[in-house]
Amino acid sequence: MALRFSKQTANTKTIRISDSSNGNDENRVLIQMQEATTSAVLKMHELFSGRTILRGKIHEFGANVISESKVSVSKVLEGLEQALQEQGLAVRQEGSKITMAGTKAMMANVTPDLWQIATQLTPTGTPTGNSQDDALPAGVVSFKNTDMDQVLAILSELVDRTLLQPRTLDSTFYLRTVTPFSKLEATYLFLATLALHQTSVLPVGGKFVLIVPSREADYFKRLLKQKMPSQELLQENSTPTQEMSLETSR
Amino acid sequence: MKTSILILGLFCALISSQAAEAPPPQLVGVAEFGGKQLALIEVPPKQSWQTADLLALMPGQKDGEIELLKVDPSAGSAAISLGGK
Repeated sequence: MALRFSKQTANTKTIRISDSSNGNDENRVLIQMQEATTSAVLKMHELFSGRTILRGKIHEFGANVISESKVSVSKVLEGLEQALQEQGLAVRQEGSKITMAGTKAMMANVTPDLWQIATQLTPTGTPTGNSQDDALPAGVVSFKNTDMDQVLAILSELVDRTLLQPRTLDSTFYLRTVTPFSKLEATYLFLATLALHQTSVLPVGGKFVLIVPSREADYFKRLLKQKMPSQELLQENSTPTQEMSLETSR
Repeated sequence: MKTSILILGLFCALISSQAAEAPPPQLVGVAEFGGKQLALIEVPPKQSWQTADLLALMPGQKDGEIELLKVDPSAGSAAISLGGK
């Protein structure tokens, strides 16, 4: 069965990649994408960057990306990112393993304090994420149109904490790891993905995490800082009797 | 009367089987690098509640029913075998 590109529509933006630098032809790329969806552009980015893509729930558009001659891999990545930016999407590199894509509002939720939260949730980890202890091999995490509940269930297992969720949050996730991740990095990966889906994860004591919409995160942070009569129940060093009552409420 | 009901039933079955047939795979990208070739193929969902699959294949590679036979990056075309056909 022969496959050809579908006909270009008049309003589809075309990104032409050129590269005037000289380089070894072996390491250069000839690429053509036509009427490619957002997912296809991100997939091509993943293939050439070797980075795991974190994405929010973003609209699918059509884009043409064409190199008229062989170009360097970095030019290909620039062209793909330009195609995403033309649709109002922001692209950001995070360390050496992650590329994030989403609207500016989604990206604003991915703040540096997510690393602090990830470290708090994986006490054996290091802030740099270099530890390969409990490493997750590439491809172990593979979500395709996966429900929020399933993603949260895996996060709960990963950080070994009970989730507190005041309300049902609804979203679907795409995530596929293409490199190995340490436990700390994997925790960060989940926190950042949830942040791109406007969802915040707040540690509560040593046993719980609170899952709330990002727009309400500040309210819940203030609430958690307040001294409440029941607060000692959430601490690790609670009495055995209190532990029992918490266990049964899981 | 029974014959007309039977004919109507067969007609409806034929229409529904045609409606359930998924659209063919779509070529969305091709690339050539380091002497290797690659095709990015979008496989439309078979059911309305499913989402499209994206397959990145090199010639000779197979994913499910789809095997990539060859790619021509300059021409923007590829040949696949769909379920051995």
